[in-house]
Amino acid sequence: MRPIEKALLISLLIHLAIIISMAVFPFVLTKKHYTPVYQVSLVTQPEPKQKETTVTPEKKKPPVKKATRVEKKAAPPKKKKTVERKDNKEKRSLTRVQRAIDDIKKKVASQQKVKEAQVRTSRIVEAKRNAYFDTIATHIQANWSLLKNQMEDVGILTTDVGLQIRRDGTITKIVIEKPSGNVLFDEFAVRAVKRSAPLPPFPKEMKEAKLEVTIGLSS
Amino acid sequence: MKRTFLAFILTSMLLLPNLGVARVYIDIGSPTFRPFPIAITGFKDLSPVSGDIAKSIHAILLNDLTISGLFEIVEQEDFPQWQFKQRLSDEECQEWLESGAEALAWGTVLQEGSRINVHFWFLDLIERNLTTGRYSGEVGRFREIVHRIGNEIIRQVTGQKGVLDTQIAYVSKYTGNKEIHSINFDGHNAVQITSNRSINLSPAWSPDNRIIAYTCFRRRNPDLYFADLSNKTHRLFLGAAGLNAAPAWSPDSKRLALMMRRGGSSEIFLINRDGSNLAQLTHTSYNEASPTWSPDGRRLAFVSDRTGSPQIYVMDLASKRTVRLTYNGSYNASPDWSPRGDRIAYCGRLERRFDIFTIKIDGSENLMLTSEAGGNEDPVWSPDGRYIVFSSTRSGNPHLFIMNANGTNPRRLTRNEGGETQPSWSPRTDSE
Repeated sequence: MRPIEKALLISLLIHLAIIISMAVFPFVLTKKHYTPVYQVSLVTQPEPKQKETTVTPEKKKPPVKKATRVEKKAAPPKKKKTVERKDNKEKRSLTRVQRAIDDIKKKVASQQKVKEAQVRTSRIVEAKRNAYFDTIATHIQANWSLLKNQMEDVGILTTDVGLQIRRDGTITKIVIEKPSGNVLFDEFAVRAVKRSAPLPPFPKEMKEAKLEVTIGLSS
Repeated sequence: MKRTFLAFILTSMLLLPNLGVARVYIDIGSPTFRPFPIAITGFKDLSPVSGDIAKSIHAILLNDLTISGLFEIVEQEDFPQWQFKQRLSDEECQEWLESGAEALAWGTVLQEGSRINVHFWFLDLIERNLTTGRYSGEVGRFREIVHRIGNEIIRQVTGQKGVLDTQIAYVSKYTGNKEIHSINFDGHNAVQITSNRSINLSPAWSPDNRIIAYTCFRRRNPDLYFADLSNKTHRLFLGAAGLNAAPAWSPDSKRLALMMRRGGSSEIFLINRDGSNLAQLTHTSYNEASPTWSPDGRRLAFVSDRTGSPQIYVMDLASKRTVRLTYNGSYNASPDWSPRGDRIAYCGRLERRFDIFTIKIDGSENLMLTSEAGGNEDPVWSPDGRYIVFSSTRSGNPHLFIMNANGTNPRRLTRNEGGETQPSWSPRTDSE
């Protein structure tokens, strides 16, 4: 293989690796942004009950099919003398089938309910989490100040401060993840975060023991 | 082929560490600007014979921090219970934070004979950093100790020491003649530097804090003199026939730029501190005046009327290339280059009144700092670039005022009759 072909192959494989990674893990490079002033977290209400009724019939289809299969199996009478007996047998087996169908229906309905409840819960938790991030933002925004007569002309700067927050709102770690290039500005960014401690405790719906967030404080 | 696969695997591994849950990023913008809230709890007098010196130290420190414009003093009625101690518990820190203070300063004073020892503590309540310092000196110079404590507090908050220990030289007609005087940043300790009953003008304080150069007419010619600050002597430095005026020290104190008259017009000259190497810098048939050095010593700004009206120009000393800086109005003079290097303060005339402006070195962001407050002239930057001193007729005769570099918070510095003009700021004696 010539060197140029080798190089082309290596390049192709590298690109392939990046594309596969992006496709398999699309969330990798995303950052969830919460900007309290301009972004509003919309809380989704639990879905209305009507939806439940529309969903349920669709799920009923498989048991009905089963029932027809059973009917076909039980249909042809084998002997004329035992017609009455057979009738009774048929009735009993039909009842059994009907019960089985009802059981399946109940099972499917309860599974559906569990699923919906899980969706509802996860949506509530997500809404509560978003609301908590908004609370953090409001809290720190209230403490975000720079030194008068000293820092008015610092220009456009941003300091990224990483926080680790415990369930009770205690800040357990503060690190400057990305300095602004202005030491005093960075110090005041950290100061604003420290002044905001402790943060409000997590809402009870959030099950995490701790959270890690990045606060971008800009001039 | 093996190598190719190896490269593929390595690339994949490089990407792997990025895998994980998306990190939440919260944007916070639009900060408020506020002075730093501090509480000065007091100075405890440990002297065998108690006097008022502890109270005086407390009062001077409060004044120093107030006039710095950087602090908001928490009022005593908002104080939690305070007892002198060397450390505070977490609960006590929290109590102080709730009072609105973010830092505390306190100390002890011990007077022994003619000497005084001051021990001070500064506690940052947010960072929980405790800084202490010990200062001693003659009782009669206790104000200097307080200024040094104030400078240290400013350094703790801003990372850069203050200018509370600096002085400003100026021309005063207080005695009936134009003499050079100096005064502390806080408006105390006014000292007369010349007393030759002649006309003394344009003082220039050397950056090494040893000499004040000034123009004096005692030989009936505007000559350049040096006032030696260590032994308080005066000597003639340059007495060329004609004009020897508007001296400006290079940042390393080794050279002076000045205005001299050769022929019909005044030109800018350079001369070494020892009087050697007098060299003409500008060669025009117009008037050039008021030189000021850039902090790196590579450029000079000066005034020239080469376009028909006085305007400010900037010259690169290596290439001698000169660029016009000001275009606004028909009179722009008295330039002073900021110690941070980014701006030049100057006096401009708009609508028949003189006001103070600052402009960026590229000619952008021309800011008017004074307005509707008398005539305002002779702007000079403080050595830290936070303040500008200038003379103003807003209260009648011209007096010196100090304002923040953005034009806010002007306060009157001198109060003598006769008026004060042409300030020059000393360097910091309390170096970093």
